[in-house]
Amino acid sequence: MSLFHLAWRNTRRQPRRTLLTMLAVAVAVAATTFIDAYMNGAMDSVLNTFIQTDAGHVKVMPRKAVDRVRMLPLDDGFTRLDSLVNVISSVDGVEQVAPRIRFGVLLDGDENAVPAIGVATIPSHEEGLLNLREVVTDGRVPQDGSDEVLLGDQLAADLNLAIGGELFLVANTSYGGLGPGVYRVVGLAHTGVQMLDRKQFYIPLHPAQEQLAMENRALEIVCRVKDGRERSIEVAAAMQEALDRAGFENAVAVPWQKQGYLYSAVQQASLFEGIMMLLLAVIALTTVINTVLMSVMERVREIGALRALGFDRGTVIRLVLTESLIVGVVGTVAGVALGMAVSLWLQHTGLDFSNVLKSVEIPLNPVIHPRPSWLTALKASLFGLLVALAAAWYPARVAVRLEPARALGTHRG
Amino acid sequence: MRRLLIAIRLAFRNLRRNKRRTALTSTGLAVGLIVMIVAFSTLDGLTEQARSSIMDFEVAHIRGFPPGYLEEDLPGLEFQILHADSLRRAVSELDGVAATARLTIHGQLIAGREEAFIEIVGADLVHDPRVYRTLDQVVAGQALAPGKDGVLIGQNLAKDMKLAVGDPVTLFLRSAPGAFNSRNLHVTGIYRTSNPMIDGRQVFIPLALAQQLALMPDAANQLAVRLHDYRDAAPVRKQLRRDFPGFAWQTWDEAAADFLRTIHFRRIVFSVIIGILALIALIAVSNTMVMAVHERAREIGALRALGFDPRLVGRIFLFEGLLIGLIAGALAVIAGGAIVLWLHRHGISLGQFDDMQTGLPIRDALYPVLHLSTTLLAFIVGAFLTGLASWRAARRVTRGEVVRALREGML
Repeated sequence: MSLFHLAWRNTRRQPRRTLLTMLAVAVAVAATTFIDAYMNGAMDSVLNTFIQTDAGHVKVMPRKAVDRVRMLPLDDGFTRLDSLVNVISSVDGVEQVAPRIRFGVLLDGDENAVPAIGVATIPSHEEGLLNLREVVTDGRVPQDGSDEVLLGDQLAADLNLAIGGELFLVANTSYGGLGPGVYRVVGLAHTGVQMLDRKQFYIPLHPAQEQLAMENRALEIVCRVKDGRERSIEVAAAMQEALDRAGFENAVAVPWQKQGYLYSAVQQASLFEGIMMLLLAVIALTTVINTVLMSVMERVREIGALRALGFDRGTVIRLVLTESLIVGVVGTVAGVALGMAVSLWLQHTGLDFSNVLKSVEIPLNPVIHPRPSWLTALKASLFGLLVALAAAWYPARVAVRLEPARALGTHRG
Repeated sequence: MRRLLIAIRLAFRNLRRNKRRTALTSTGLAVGLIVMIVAFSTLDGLTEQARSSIMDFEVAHIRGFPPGYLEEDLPGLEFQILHADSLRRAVSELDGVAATARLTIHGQLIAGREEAFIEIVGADLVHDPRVYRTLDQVVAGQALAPGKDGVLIGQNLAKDMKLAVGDPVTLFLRSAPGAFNSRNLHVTGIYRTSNPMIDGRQVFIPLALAQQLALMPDAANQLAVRLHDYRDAAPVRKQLRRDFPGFAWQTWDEAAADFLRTIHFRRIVFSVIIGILALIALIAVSNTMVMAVHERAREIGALRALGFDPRLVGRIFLFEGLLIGLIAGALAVIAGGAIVLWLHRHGISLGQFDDMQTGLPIRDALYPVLHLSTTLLAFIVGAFLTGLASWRAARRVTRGEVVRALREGML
């Protein structure tokens, strides 16, 4: 009889116990699978929103503006904008380049002043970034160079403006004076991110440059990069070299990881996932150790007989490990299947946290779609199998320590 | 009663017979219960810190607004409490009530080329400190003084705009009639509260100056009330509604409803995680009890053959499970309690999040709090899980056949 058949027979001797242990492994593995899929989905949501609406994969900023991004300073910005855009576009991996000016302004509502953020950009350059065409729910995207505006839908409601209406705005110019402008509302945007839909509006770059006294200038240049989530640091370094070579000493290429504090929050979330997996592992371990240990202690005589018949210590260890692995493999397969099924279902339906995220003032899409991947299944499988192997280690040591003669002469070890 | 004691003694003896198994099962359960104690104590600490911060710096205990004010997302200055000081005096006459009037205006703070959206808060410098604590939190420069114009800004805003005490700034706002108005002032002081959002958003000036800028003489848009005990907010609000019916009175928990909902949500998330850990622990205990029954089938048969009441024999296993629950509960309370007390003393640092908009109205550190109810809950959950897990084993013992148990060692 092979070692596997022997181990298989042993697991079937106490089917109820084996099933319960498999169930414990399955629950732990299913939880691990779901947590990983959920964290993937949450990270996608947070990072994609951040990258598309603000950071890009790489953002080129004036050196002195790097620490002051929250204040939206209308300093001189970049001059020689066209040649700067050419240098950035020539860097390997850069797919899209969008010069922007973001500025704060108090808009004139019916009866009150409404604080808002204007994003002046070239709408046709925002594919894969602000994706203006995809977020328009009513009307259309402003045409490049026109005096048109796309309003966040909630902002439009606050201002009591509809398509065809006129947005009058008086903004501080780069020289500190006041610059007036009138824009015709051609579309309403809904990103699903409350902070953006309530506060942001989008106008073409050219009229904004005139209004803000920033002719042929921009405050930031946002870049989309091929495989940019992963390659941003490498591309930013290459871009910096190109900028330095071209004499743009004032320009700094900053990858999304180094903009704001989001990346440290992402790392905290990964730490949380690690702690959760550790806790699940500890509890699942105690269950499996208990079962395998009982299985060993029940068969003291049998193990003694095997040893007396010439089975060496290695064979006994392998027998115990195989037994534990059988439980682990079945539990893991069931757990991964359950975890993936739940994750896939929730990926389809989404988890809506709109109610609880009302007071959180960060650009975050409140609907999270868990994203299970092959890597999720692989990680969870490794987790289940490692738990099963680790759990067998102590009982296996107990088994090989049994002296054959003593084991044969006693009921318990 | 005597029989019950025998059953407990036998259960205890059985646990001691399998020390290793008892230790392993209790450890698994204890880990789950430790997570529960630490997680809930952290949430309790967060709730208490946040509640104090919200009441001290944002919403007081009760606030009164002009009718219709609360229905607006961005209420404008057309909502006014006229003769605000007379109303403050009248409300203050109620027993155990301190009141102050505030005029809050959305506007811009401009310093050179820097500008920021802010809330300009016109505060009654004499009465505001009796209700809110913001004006007492000056960390640089001077507090606002009656009769002297100046502006008090939060530390986060000062940092963002690179402002220091004595720097000139301009306040820009839309007055109640609709015309824009501005005023050049100097920063008299910088305050630092436990709420980074307040520090980055609210700028304080004397109430009279705010009324002058907004062209709203003797008017305000908020009357804030502080009580001896915030738990009296609901009955006092009732009295305010009766005595001052022309206003919308809002208690602190209504004003902080969004935040309280996030706390509730976090509690649900923790409960789900703990539920999963508990489920695995439940399976572990069930497993142990199945093994215990199987191992001692002959012993069970012998006890029942000797005339022991089957229910009593079943109870031995029930008690065995419950004892595991109590051991795990005790371990969890000792270890979890020690972790929470250590964290309460040293705090969980939030320094790295200081500049992030986390939505939490606290800063520097989070101090978990250990409540008796949390430790009791750990015991109850432990006992419930083990009771549930051993109940099936006890039922099997009660129903199994004696002869088969004695002959085959099977139940």
